[in-house]
Amino acid sequence: MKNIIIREYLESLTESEELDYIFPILLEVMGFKILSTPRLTKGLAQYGKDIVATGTDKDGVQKRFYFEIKGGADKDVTTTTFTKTDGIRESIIEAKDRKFNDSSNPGFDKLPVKIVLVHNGVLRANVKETFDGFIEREFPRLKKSKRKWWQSTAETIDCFEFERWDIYELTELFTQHLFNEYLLTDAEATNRFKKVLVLINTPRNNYADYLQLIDHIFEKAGALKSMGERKRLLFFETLRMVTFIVYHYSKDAHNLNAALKCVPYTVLNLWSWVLEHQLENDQKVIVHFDKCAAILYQVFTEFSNKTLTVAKRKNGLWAPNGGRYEQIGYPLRAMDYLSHLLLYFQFQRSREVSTNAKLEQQVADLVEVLNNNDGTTRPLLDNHSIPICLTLNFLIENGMEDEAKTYLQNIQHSVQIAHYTYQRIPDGRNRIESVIRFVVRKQKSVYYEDSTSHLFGMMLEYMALLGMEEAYYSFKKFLIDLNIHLGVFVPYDDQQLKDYRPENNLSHEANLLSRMLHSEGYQSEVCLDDSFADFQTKVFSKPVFTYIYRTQTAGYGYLLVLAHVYLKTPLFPSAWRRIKIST
Amino acid sequence: MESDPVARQYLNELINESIKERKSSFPTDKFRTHYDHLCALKLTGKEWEKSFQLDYAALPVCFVLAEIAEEIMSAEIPSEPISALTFVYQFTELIREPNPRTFWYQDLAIRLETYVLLYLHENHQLDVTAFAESVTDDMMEETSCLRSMNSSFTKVFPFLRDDNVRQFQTIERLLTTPTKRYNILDAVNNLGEINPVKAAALYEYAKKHNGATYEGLFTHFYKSLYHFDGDHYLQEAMDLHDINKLECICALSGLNYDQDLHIRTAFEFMKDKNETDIDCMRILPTFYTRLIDNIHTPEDIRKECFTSIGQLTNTNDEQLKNSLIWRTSSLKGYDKEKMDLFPTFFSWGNPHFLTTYFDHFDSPASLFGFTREAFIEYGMTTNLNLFESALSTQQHVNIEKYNLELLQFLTDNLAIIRFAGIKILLRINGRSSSFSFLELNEKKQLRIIESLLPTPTNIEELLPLVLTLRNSPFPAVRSNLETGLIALIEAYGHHTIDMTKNCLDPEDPMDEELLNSLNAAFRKYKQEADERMQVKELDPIENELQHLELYFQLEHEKQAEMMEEATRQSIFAQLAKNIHVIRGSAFNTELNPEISLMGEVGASHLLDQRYSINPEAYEWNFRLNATTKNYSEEEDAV
Repeated sequence: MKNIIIREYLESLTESEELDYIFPILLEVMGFKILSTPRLTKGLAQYGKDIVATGTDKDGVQKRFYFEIKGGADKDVTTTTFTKTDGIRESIIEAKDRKFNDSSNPGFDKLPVKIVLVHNGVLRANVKETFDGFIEREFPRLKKSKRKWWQSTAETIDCFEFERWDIYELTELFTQHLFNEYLLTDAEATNRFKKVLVLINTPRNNYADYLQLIDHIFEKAGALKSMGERKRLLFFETLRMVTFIVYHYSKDAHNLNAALKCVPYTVLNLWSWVLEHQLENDQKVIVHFDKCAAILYQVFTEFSNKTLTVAKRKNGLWAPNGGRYEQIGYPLRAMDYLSHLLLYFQFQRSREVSTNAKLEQQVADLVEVLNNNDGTTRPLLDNHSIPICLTLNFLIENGMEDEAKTYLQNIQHSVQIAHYTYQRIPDGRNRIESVIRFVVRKQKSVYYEDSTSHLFGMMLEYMALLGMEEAYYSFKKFLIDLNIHLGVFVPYDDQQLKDYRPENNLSHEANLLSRMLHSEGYQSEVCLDDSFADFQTKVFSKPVFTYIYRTQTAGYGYLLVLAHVYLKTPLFPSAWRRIKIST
Repeated sequence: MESDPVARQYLNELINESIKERKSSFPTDKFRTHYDHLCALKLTGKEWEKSFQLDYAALPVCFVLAEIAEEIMSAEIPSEPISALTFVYQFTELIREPNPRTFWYQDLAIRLETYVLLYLHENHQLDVTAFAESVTDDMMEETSCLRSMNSSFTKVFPFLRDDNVRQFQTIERLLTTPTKRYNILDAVNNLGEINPVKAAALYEYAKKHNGATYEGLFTHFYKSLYHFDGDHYLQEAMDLHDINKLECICALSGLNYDQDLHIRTAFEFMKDKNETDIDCMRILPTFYTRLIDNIHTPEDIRKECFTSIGQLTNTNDEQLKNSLIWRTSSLKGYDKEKMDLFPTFFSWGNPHFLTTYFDHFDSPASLFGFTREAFIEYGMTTNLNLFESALSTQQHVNIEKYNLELLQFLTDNLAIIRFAGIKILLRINGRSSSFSFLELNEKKQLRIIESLLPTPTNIEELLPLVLTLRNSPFPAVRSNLETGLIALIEAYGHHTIDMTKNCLDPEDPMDEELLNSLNAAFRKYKQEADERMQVKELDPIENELQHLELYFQLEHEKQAEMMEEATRQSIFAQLAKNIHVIRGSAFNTELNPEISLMGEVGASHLLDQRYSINPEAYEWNFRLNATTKNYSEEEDAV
């Protein structure tokens, strides 16, 4: 079963990206030293050497290995793939003819050479004879003695050995060296992985199999102390591989949504693991972590590139095929979209060189999305405070206070209209099912909470910060008429967690990175004053939650935002009470 | 009948035709000779422009009918009453075949029963009164042929040879039997109309034997005998006041006066009495409104009647109030007088009287005037259903004036009145309105577009009306229409073009230009929509299927419940047996093994897609459009 899954997975990889990407990982795990990868030679004539590595062969002899990788449309050896220009035949001849020099590796040139054709397909019967004849001719065996040629280094120094690793060989190698270590050690993991692959892009998928698979990998990894260097490498690479698979499956299905749902989980869990083991200053570990985070960044980048043009159109985030459901779907999607976009901007800033032009483009894109999608102003759930807060902060931080005010006013307007027309207030318990039931059937579930709001508490504090006196008074009147209690969520710091939640052994930061905070903090009341000035003064003087996040210190501040967005923990008052208003 | 064989033959032919065709009326042209002959003998019943019926209340008609019944049943009418009535029952059942539940023949059955009872009374000495007394309520319930015995007795009563003593005893007995009280009063009425001499004698007998104390009895005597001797019985009715003033007022209210002198006398009498007893006052609305309705009433008396009605409104009694509203609203015409009373009626706090109050107005002006006030006062919450019946009536009887009023609404300065106009235009029963918007000036034409296009509630109905403005002589109107139609592409997609195309003239170059413009706008819209659909990340079916399914599942549940509720309230469903088919597209029953396919009944309206984008804003904008876009008189005058 396991082999079948791995074989199916390997068969689905295409040359240019996937097989090129994971094959070096296999080689690393197998103990090869990689000197050149397709990434390094991308765009150059590769002369039959997709990967150059040194390593010990099955016979125990250290050799030079030239790997020629063929995948995707070329994965099978056929008459066409064998004979065409830049085909298999040509690649093998070139690999043999053109030398690869590496002066940084003493003795490299003295090592015997083995050319390996790697393809995730099979050798077709109709070309087998031709192929075998070609190999026989190009790689003649020594006839001097009965001994194998590699048994005498002197004799073989200018000779080439050839091997072909087809799908069956690759399956065996991946199973034996890579997947076996952590991923598919038991039936549960095997089944889970199979389900992940089969269901990854099916509608209704809540990705539970993926999440459990990741949990399973962490469980199997065990304690850090028991991990050797190789085991740790395998652990990282396994996570990277699984993440990578999800990303590519999503991409192949032309829907990155699965990747957006799954990859952050791996990244957040891996970072939690790093913090748990206090490895954030271990450069080797950080290199591995960055590889995983790079996949997430890739997902965000591609998601934004793909969707932004449409999202900036008039009601671009509205889906015509959703029908009447869109009265829920549109604002829900628009709020999620805002979160992802702003997260991407944060990501981009931390990973790319910031330029004014880039920043201006980000601001322009955001404003265009806001102006063209009124779904971004219609909170259905209380924790839609997350995208709202991120948006306001982004605008304010970039000197767009007027736009921030307009956005806030639009939200206030939408909230009031929603109440005047259909008596709907965002659900404080954040249950979309309750909102759907209310919208469709006008039945308010017992779980529907509209008498307390953190979202409104946050909005009023923003009004104070932005000096929106008129909006404050009108919103205040609206809320008093409805008798809605206001508050904001403040998390416990580590000491408070020990005092109030002794059963919770994690730090605040570990909690934030691993779950939606609920009982790990408290509701702090927001009282409205008669005078706007009084309220403003009070807001400015309110204490803010201070905490030194190791994540921030390590330069991964965006992961904290990712945790808020992904795990749906509302941002803390420090996110806005500390913000500096330029005017 | 023996003396007029032609009439007998004609009746025979018509009744047989009726039974054969299962129709109770006959085309006059086809049976012209029959009609002329029988009409002269007063044997025809209801008449219409092109058809007539036979009058089965006339004994000669029943005589021939009985002959035909005997012929069809191949048996004579039995001499024993229950058998005879069974004979009638079986005959009528037979002529209803093959659809026994279709009672196509109106009063034929009851009249034949009456005739048979009379036949037995005359030819076989049946004591019909005694027989009727012997039929108990239980017997009527259990025996099919006796079910209409009360009614048959009412009709045969005037023909019976019973003397006054016996008839008065019968009256007294039946007046005290609640289930038969109204039948005997009807019988008294019939007696006065068919045999006034006998009725007069019976009245004199009753008068001497305390008949005045029976509620309704003398009212029916006077009512039926008034045509026999109006002066006498009017005086008798007024004299009754000393004995039974309530009966006196009822009697005076029920008389069908045929002289203005009698009317004046009765009115003055009533005025003199100035009744304050509430039971009597409750009758007065009937008295006054019947006088107002009477063509013989002098104009001054009519005015005084309205004044008296106005005075009655000062009495705080629910029954009297209901009577005043109902009787006044039943008056045909008198729009001004009824509108004068209207504020008082409205102030009583039960708006449901509005549903019928305007039904009998001559002009729709008052109704529209009040509707206008209601919308100004109550805005969008005004319940137009209250006016539905009145609007339908006015639309039916005064279509031109109705359309004129509606057009004024649709182009009014006040947004809320234009909104009211749209609501009136889109009433379920109001869609046959046709307008000539082109006769309006430019401002008004633009206003029509502004009122009807931005947030149309029923585009299928509105678009053909608005599209007449494409032929407007004003360029701004044509341009605004085009812009408005393009905006609707977002709301209805290609349907906008399809609907528009249906109203355009393919030969007209200007229409072609309009269509080209819409097609170009649609292509752009479609291209963007297609591009949007390419982005699977934003596709709810790909990514939000659970929420989407929950939404539609709940919506389906809601619709099913509404359907269930509608079925519960449906009269049809109450009569029919309700079987739920849980699987399959057809059903059969053990009694009827034939497979019956289930039909599909339904109607659909295009929904504005913009609603699903943001229902709250759509609703809000709709309200704003309906309440805030007002114009001043000056703007209107430009």
